[in-house]
This record gives sequence, C-alpha cells and structure tokens, in this order.
Amino acid sequence: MSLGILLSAEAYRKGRAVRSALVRHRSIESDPIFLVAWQNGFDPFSCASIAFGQGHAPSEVFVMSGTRDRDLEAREFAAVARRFCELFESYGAASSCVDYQGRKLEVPVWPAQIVIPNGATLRLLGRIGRRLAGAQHPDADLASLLRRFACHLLWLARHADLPGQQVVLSCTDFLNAHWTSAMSALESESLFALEAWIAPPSHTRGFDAAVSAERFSAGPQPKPEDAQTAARLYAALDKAGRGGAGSSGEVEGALVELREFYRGLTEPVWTLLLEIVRRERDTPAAAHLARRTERDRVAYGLHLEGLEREVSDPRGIRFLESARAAALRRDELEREAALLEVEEAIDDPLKMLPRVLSGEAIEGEVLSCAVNRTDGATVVLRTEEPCTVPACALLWWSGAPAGRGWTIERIDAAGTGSKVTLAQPIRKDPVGCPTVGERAIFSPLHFDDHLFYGLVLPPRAPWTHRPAA
Amino acid sequence: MSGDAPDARLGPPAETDHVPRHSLTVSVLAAAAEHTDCTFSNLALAGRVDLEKLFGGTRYEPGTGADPLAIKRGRLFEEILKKDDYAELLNLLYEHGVAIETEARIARLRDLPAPAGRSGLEVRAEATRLELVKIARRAWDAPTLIDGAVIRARIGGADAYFEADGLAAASNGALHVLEAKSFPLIDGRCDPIKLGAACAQAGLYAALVRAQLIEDHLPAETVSDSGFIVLPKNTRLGRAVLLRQNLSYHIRRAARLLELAHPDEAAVKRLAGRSFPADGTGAAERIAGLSHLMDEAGTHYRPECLEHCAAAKLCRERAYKAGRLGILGDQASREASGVESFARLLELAAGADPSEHERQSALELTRARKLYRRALKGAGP
Repeated sequence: MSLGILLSAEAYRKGRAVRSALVRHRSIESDPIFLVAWQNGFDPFSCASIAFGQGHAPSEVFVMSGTRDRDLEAREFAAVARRFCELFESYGAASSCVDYQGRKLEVPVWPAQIVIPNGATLRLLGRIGRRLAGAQHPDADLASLLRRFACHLLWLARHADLPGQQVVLSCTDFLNAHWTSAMSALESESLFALEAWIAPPSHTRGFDAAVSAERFSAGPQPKPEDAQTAARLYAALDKAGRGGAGSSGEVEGALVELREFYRGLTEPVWTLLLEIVRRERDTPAAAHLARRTERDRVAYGLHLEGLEREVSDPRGIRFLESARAAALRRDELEREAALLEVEEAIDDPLKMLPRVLSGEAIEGEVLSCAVNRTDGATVVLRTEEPCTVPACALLWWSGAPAGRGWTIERIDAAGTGSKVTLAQPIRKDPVGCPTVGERAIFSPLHFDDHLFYGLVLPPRAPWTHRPAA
Repeated sequence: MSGDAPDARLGPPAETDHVPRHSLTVSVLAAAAEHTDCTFSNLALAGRVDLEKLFGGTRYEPGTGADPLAIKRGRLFEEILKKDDYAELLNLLYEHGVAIETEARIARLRDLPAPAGRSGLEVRAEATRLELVKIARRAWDAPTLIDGAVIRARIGGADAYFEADGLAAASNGALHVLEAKSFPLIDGRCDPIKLGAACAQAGLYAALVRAQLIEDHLPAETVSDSGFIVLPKNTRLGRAVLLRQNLSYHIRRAARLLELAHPDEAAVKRLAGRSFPADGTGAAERIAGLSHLMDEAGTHYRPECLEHCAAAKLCRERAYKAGRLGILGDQASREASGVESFARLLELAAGADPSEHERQSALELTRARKLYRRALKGAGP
C-alpha cells in the first residue's frame, strides 16, 4: 500500500490537496523566466504563439502567422529567437570560475531557470529546437540566430531529462511531487485543475473547483473550442493574405485579432504561474538543493562554452547518439535518479516513509548508543512495529548517509514492536551517531561512492561489427 | 422497425424514439474498445446513441472535437501521397517487399460516380467487395492499391460503413492495410501512443475486411497480419515513410469488439421498457434520465474514460460523490485491495474493525497513518 492512497483519501476528506513533501525539493530562483507556448495544430514542429519574460515584467507575446512562406516564417522565428537568446544568455553575464575536471570553467553567478506550465510545453520547445537546428536561410546572420535558439531549446529539453534538475521547472511535475489530491494521474496533468485542488476558492471543494478549472488549458494544446477559434482566425488571415497588394490593412487587422486571441489564452496561464511560484517559494527549501543548483550552473556553463562551436558547425548538433554516448547518458540518468532519491529521502521524512512502509527501513526511538574506539559503535533502537529487515542487513542512519553503514546484529521482540541492535565496526571518528531518546531512521539509502563517479568506457566501441555506413 | 435503423430503445423496438444517433466510424469503435467492461457504454454503442449530443449544453459536455488545423494537415499529407499516381507510396511499398511484378493498378473508388452520403458509401462498399474478391482469387486484374475502400459490417443489427485509407495487395495474394497518419517519424522515432492508436485503427480495418471475406466465402487469411502505417518523414510533410507493423494483437482485439457491439441480451432484458433520453428534452431532464439509466445498467468508471467516452464526466462525478477509490485509477484500487471507498479507507486507517478481505489493507493503513502522523509531528515546530 502506498502512502499516496492514504494522502488521496485525506485530500478527499478535506476537499483540498494535502502536502506530500514537508520541504521544497526544487529551487525557485529569484527572477526566473516564465514561458507559455501554444501549439499550431497544422505543424507540430512550430508554435502558434510563445510568450516569455521575467516575472517582474509583463510577458512578451509573439504570435506566428502560420505562413507557408519559409522566408517570412524564418523572420518571425528570428524575432522570438533574438529576444529569447538575449534573455537566456543574460544569466551568463555575471559569472565566476569553478574547477571542473582539472580546468577552470565559467559558471553563472545566478542560475538560469525557466518556469513552464507542463511537460508538454517542454516537448514542444524540443520539437521547435529540432526543426530550427536544420534551418537554412540565405541570410547567414539570421540562420545563425535560429541555430543558436535551436541549441538553447535542445539543450533545455535534454537537460530537463536529468532527475532533480532545476533549470526547467515544469509546474505540473513540481506540484505533483509536492502535493497529493484525489485526482488521477491523468487529470493531474491539468495545471488549472491541480491548482484548483491545492487552493480551491473558499467554501468550494477541490473536486468542484477542478471541474470548473478544467475548462482552461495551460497549453500547448488549446481546448477544442479555442482550437476552432484559432482555425477560424488563421483562415481569415489566409484569406486576407490572398487579397493581393491592396490587402495589407486586412492582413494587419487579421493579425491583430490573432494576437489578441493568443494574448487572451496566455494571460490566465501567466497569472497562474506567477501565483504558484510565489506560494511555493515560501516553503522551506530542502538541504540538498545546493548540490543540484551547483550541478545546473556547471551544466549551463558547459552549454554556453560549447555554444559557438555548435552554432558555427553544421554537424555540431547531433540528434542520434552512438551506442557509447547512449550508454554514458543512461548511466548519468540512473546515477542522478538514485542520488535524487537518497537526497529527497534524507531531506524529507515524508519521502522516506515509503521505504519504512515497505519494510526496507526501520524507524524508532534510540534506547542506547555506545561508542568505543576499539569495539566500534552500537545503537539499540526500539520500533513500534515488528522489524521486517533481516539480521545482518546493512543500513545507514539518515542523519549520516555519507558515513559508514550499520549492521543489524540482533532483533528481539519488545511489546508490539522490536528491539533492534545495530553495530558499526571500529570507528575512527565519533560523528554520525544518533543520540539517546531521539527518533531515528535506518535505511538502505546512502551516498554510495558509485553515485558520484560516472561509467568509464573505452573511447571506441569494443565490438568488431559496425553499422553499415 | 426497418433493419437498417438501430434500436436505441432498450426494451421492445420503437418506430420513433427521437434519441440522437450517429453513424459508426472507426474512431467511435476504437474509443469503445477502451471500455468494453461498461454495460452503459456498450448499450449506447449497440444502439448508436450519440452521447455527445445528449450531453451537449450540460455541465458534463465532453468538450471534444478535432483541431481543424490538424485535420487540414492530415488532408494535405494524403494529397501529397496521392500525387503522381501514388508514385511515392508505391515506391515505398516496393521497398518493403510488397512486390508488384506488373504495372500497378489502382482502384480509385472515391472517383466512382456515386451520390453523396449513405448511398455513395453503399456504391463504394459494393465496389470494394468486388475488388477484394479479385485480390483473394488472384485475378489478373486485381488491384495493387484500393484507394477509398469502404467496408460494410453488420453491427448492432444494422449496416455500418467504414472508410479505410488504403488497402494494398501484394503479388502473392496477401492484402495489407495501409493507414496514413500525419504525425511525423523523426530521427527514427515517433509518438508511441499515436502509433499505437494508428495500429489499433488499422487492426480494426483488417478485422472488418476479414469479416467481409468470410461473408463472401473467401479465405480470411488473405488479409495479412502485417499492416503499414504511413507517416511524414522528418519535420516537413514532403516525404513519407512506411512502418511495417504486426497487427495480429489489434486484429484479435477488434474482432472481439465487433462481437461486443451487439446489444447485451441480458442487459436489454433487465432494462426492458427503459430508453435513452430523447433529443430536445431539457438538460436537467436528460441528465436525470441518463443517471437513472446508469444506475440500472451499471457503469465502470476509470480515469481513462475521460479520453474516450462522452459520458465520462457524469460518471466521474457519480464515482466521486460515492467516494469510490476507482477515481484514482486501477493502480489505487489494486493497492487498496478489498477497500472500495475513501470513507472506508479512512475508517480502517483510524483503526476500525476490518472484514476478512480488508484485513491486510487495514494493517498497512493503520501503520501508514501512524507513521505519517509521526512524521508530521516531527516536522512541526
């Protein structure tokens, strides 16, 4: 039985979502970029509208005319690209040097962050990046600008796969990781419905608020009735465009209508993002956020360092990975996922609970703690439930997950629970022991060395066969 | 009642009941395939009741409808495929071993002189049947490609017509279903959910063609288990790519669904005299009527129904009001084995006496609640 069902039942009883995390497990930077995008149903690799900007300023809404004229389309994208690159690269303006693999690397002082409504928006950005990466245009500067924009988008989409990263903050993912409602996973993908469960209007139950809120979309796919309106507006623009030279006024009028339409779709989403960020920022941050922020700064620094090479080299952007690169990437993702699990569980008792419930970890009151330089240390823990972890198992105290492990030496019955004796071999330092009377958790989660060191593979694949050229 | 008019009334057949109906399409059948365990939905399918219309103008309106721009994209891609006498599509078929020894013959059924609407579909269905007979008998003039094939099927006691994107015949007499979709294949990858839906659709066509062949006393095996999904290659629509897919699972599933699309005799008997609400009645009256029918027929709400069924929002509200755990999804129901409602789950967590089948869940719940409270207390000031 997962803790999630119990929390969902609590949410059902209260009529509003309940917290599933006691601390905030993602950093929210002081001035992130907010971004809302709308998809063009005709072309999944383009967008109908994109709005972005920092929270302190009103958003800039760019609207695409949906033209089939490649030159005009490139110029429309260039306007977006110019502003986005300027904003996104501004994080790199103030930088400091850090040691990275034996060399100096410039990293931003303030980490870059983009707040988006959901994962679907991120996938749309990835698709736009994929398309613009191959963009060709007679104007070399314009082509280079589009490739630069594509590089940023592709990097964001790739970096966002890294567990625990904080450069891209997808609000639905963030809220689903910190709150539990009585909605299914499918319904929880709607940012408006999710927020309605978290902060329903007074005297309204979360369910009713969410049903009303479902009428809105946070993008990139508009609601069906909005898609109909968009199609009608695009048809009007198309018709005005076919009118010939004398129809520039009509084209402009149709464009204004289209801009107003997308501005109307964007505004409620923008307000919602600001509201979510403002509220969630007040939750105390988890202790291990600093490591992940540092990792993001290094990743951003590396991205900016390689940016010029990628933009200038037509083969700089690779879409298909070699077997070696795929293996290294998989290793990186798995290590980061494991590390994130440990960090979150150490930082937050609610994230550790599933381990205790599944019987992999034990939680109880420390009855005694003896440290001896020759015999090692011994802790006796009294648990309220019978200990299901077998004797001889190696566990780590959640207060010192980077320290040495504790072996279960004995398990004795004590009332309805158990008295568990854990021992640690000879100790060189006295730190990393719980104190008598405190409640302690011993679990298999710890900072193992292998979590910090990547896979080492030979530079060339060791197998003899090669794919056909 | 004529044989062609489906019986939307659940009891004895009625000549006029004013219940809104729609024609069966492959997308309607594919959607129904997702909730075959719901008696209410099966009855609506068998009676071809247009639930979208019945829920229209109420707070449970499904809010469905395809994006017109996406439809435009699909049409444009089809036009590109048809360019130069299907040159690109035929080339792709050759590459995939659907070898044509002689010059390709294309049966263009959309070009047949036929009236619009149902009569036109009847004409094309008959033409499709004749072309299928030629392919199954390996006639010298059998077509390589049937464009605009229409397959007739008897569903729920009435004829229904289904338009397939294309059927391709190989020189060895095998028939392959072709389904054109406008989502792209890029860097060798495509959206797996959309691909799955396209395969389900192609599987349904294959099952329908097999049923048609059996009706004509021809071997059903003529329809190959492998079908083709045609997609645009890369970010532009200009080039196409063919994905060969094994459709055997989808064909079996579709065949089962076609059997299910007949009124459930037991349910019809049980609900004799009851009917779906008529079109034109007030919103409140319609919802009351539908709710009553749901009570009597029985429903099986799952969150996935929201994606496929026009009645899902009403079902969800009823399930929520009843406090059913199923609103969280099947996973939650499986985890809290023996416990059906939120209220009971909370009672058990608080220490209520469990029944025999609730015992294991109750043990875990009381423990979870205790640990949760302790964790909250520990975090407090």
